[in-house]
Amino acid sequence: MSKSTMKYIGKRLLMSIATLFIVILILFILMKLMPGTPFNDEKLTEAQKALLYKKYGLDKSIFEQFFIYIGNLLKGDFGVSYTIQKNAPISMMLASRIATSFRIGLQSVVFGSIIGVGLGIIAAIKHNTIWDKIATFVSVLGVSIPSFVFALILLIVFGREIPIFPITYDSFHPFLSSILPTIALSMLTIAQIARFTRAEMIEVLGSDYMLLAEAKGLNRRTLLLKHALRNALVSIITVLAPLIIGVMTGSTVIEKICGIPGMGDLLVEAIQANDYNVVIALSFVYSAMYIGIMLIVDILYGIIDPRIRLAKEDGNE
Amino acid sequence: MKKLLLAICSLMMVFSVAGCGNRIMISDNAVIVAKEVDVTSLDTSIAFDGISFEVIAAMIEGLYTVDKDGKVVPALTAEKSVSEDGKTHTFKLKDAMWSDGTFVTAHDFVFAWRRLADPKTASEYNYMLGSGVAEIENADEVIAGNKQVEELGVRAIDDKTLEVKLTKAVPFFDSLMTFPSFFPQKESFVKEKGDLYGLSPDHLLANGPFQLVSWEYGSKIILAKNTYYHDVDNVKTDNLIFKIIKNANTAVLDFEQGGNDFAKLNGELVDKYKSNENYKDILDGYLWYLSMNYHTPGLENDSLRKAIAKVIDKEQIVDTILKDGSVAADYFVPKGLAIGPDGKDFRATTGTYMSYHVEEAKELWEKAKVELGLETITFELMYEEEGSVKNIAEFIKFQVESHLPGISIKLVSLPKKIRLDRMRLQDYQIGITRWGPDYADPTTYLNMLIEGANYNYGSYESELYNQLMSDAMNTKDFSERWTKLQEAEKVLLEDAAVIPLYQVGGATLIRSNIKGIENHLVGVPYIYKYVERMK
Repeated sequence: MSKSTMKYIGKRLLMSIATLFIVILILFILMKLMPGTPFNDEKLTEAQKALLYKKYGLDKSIFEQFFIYIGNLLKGDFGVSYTIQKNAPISMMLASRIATSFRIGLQSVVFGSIIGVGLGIIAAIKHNTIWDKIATFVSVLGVSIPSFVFALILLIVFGREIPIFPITYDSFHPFLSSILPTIALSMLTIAQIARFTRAEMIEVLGSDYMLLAEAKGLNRRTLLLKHALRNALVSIITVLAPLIIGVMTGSTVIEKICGIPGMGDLLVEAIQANDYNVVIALSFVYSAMYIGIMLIVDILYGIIDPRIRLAKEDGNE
Repeated sequence: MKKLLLAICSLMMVFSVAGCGNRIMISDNAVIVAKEVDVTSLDTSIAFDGISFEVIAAMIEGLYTVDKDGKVVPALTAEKSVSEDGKTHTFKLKDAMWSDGTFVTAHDFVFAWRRLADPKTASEYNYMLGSGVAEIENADEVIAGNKQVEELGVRAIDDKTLEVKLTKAVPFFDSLMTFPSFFPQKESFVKEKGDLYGLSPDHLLANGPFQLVSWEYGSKIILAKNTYYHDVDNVKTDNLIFKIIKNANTAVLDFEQGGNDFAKLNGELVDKYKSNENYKDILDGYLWYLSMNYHTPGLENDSLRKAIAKVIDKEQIVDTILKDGSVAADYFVPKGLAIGPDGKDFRATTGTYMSYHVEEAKELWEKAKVELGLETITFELMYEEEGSVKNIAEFIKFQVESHLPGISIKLVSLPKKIRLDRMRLQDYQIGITRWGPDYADPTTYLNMLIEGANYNYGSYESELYNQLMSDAMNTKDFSERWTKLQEAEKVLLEDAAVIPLYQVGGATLIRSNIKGIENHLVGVPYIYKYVERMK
């Protein structure tokens, strides 16, 4: 990696940290503007609420709370949950959930990309044949049918009618029980990747340099994988980045339907319950992941396509 | 590119393996219960929700528990005596052990109750100790921070004897002791674990039928038989598992596949499973009702309120809108809530009031028009946006407007929190609201409507009602008390100060070979001590 690349990454990292702080501040303010409190039970008296506010420091001003929070955060302390797992440290609540969401997300991205690229290549090579039509049909299905519908269909078919897979996620069988949600979750990835791969491949295959390469007598395999696919990959990565973030940070609906104890599921619960610390910690993790993945994608561009430079070498940005 | 793939694959392997750590052995006779929400806390001073209470009660015992018929029976109490004036209760404890092999002592109760009252704990259930409920001496002052926790009216005379001092006789005191908030905690253990107490198997002690083996947040809670339990011979299953499945459809699919033995149904699923051999209707303690604000012009008129009460067809609400096992309520104290001195349910010895009757409703409305000197009037009906409440509100509007021409109902839909706030501030006209019982006595409902009470949002003020309630509170004769409470309910409903709609029911699938799950309306919703998987 060149010096300027390092400098660029360093700069990006610093900006990322600043962004994260701003995210937390905005969240703090938004949470305060939301109606209600974490303590919503209709039976709580004002005196009890005052006790609870005092205990958790919610009686302080919002800026005081913000700085206390940042102080704790720098020590690695995300605070405790107010309602969901009352008084449990957030780090304890998140550890297994992040791992679960991340693993299932990763599975679906890898699975989805492989199938998607495969479909796209077939569609491009067999351009305007029945294969192309089938691939296009699959893509349209994947984009238009929501993933939770797929999840339900898969659960009913491969859980109830042909009971091969468990209906709910089971940490004792983490791989087997995550196959159905992985497939459901990867439908959108498959569809998007297949469409882009097809379009890019058709363009690349029709280009002059491909004609030249073919004329040089390269075999079809090398031609497709080394020349066509590599060029098509650049734009595929552009679509892949947001997809990765979407699935890795957990799919709310899929998690709920398949009983996966993941991040998305927790976030919705935390927002509904006004469990401030959980919402902020999760948003922090989401933002950090988003920024991290974007950075990795930028670096990947450079590896796949040497023509793309992360920063201008002369540094006059 | 290959390197990248390799990296991704190895990362996946790491995550997969990470999930397989310390495998727990589950026995064949394990009973698995699907729950839509996770446990909030296993700390008895902090827990405040039904599922937490269920799991706690499967692991920890207090002075009393409830049997399958709803009768309060001794748990850790060997003997009990009450002073002449009913204000001092003395409990002799059985020989029982914590799961670390030490004895449960009276000190464990004293510590737990002080911790419950301590303002530093900020318990949402601390009021259970104080006035209106357990009436323990100095409880209100300790909770408010005006007295030290040591001044709470509870002490250990010796390791096996607990003495509780009350400010007045509480006829349902033993029933309160079935509530997890009153369960014991071992002081040295709680202090050693500090902030992490109750959060994982290593941080919790059991003295009941089961003990905690694993708690995966948001996913699964595994309990195993507690060999230290004093009545372990009556515990028939080796594992009790709570599986958290938030989506009702998934829970039912999982039930069909054999993944769980107990799953709640929602209204959409009931029709499909009603004839299933595993289907059961289980009544809940929640009662939905209309709260009438007496400060609203028109609603102070008796005939008008009564007309509205009689025009609502509650059977239709439960049969066509809810369809989930809920039952129409022409009463305010729910069925199955409280057993009287005669050993019978409160509802078994009293009537129902203000039943659906369109003709009478029309007459009452004609009368109201004359009394109020008006032909048309509009009321706002406030309700929350959640679940079926919207459909119920629309149904009530339809019934009132079509049968009582001249009354129009304006629907006001709000998020639950806001609705509660508005009602608390008496900024409403008619509100659809609900109440769940805090303890197994009719006063958990009837106290709400006493003049000046916290939850008397509609400002109902009836001398007769107040008198009956205060008579009931002050009499030492428990059957007279019971009769007074039944009369009070009659007055309340015939005044149409509140208009009950329905008692919530839970349509449930319970596998037919699972026996011994005991259901209760208040406190611990389900007791699993005797649960068993039959062959």
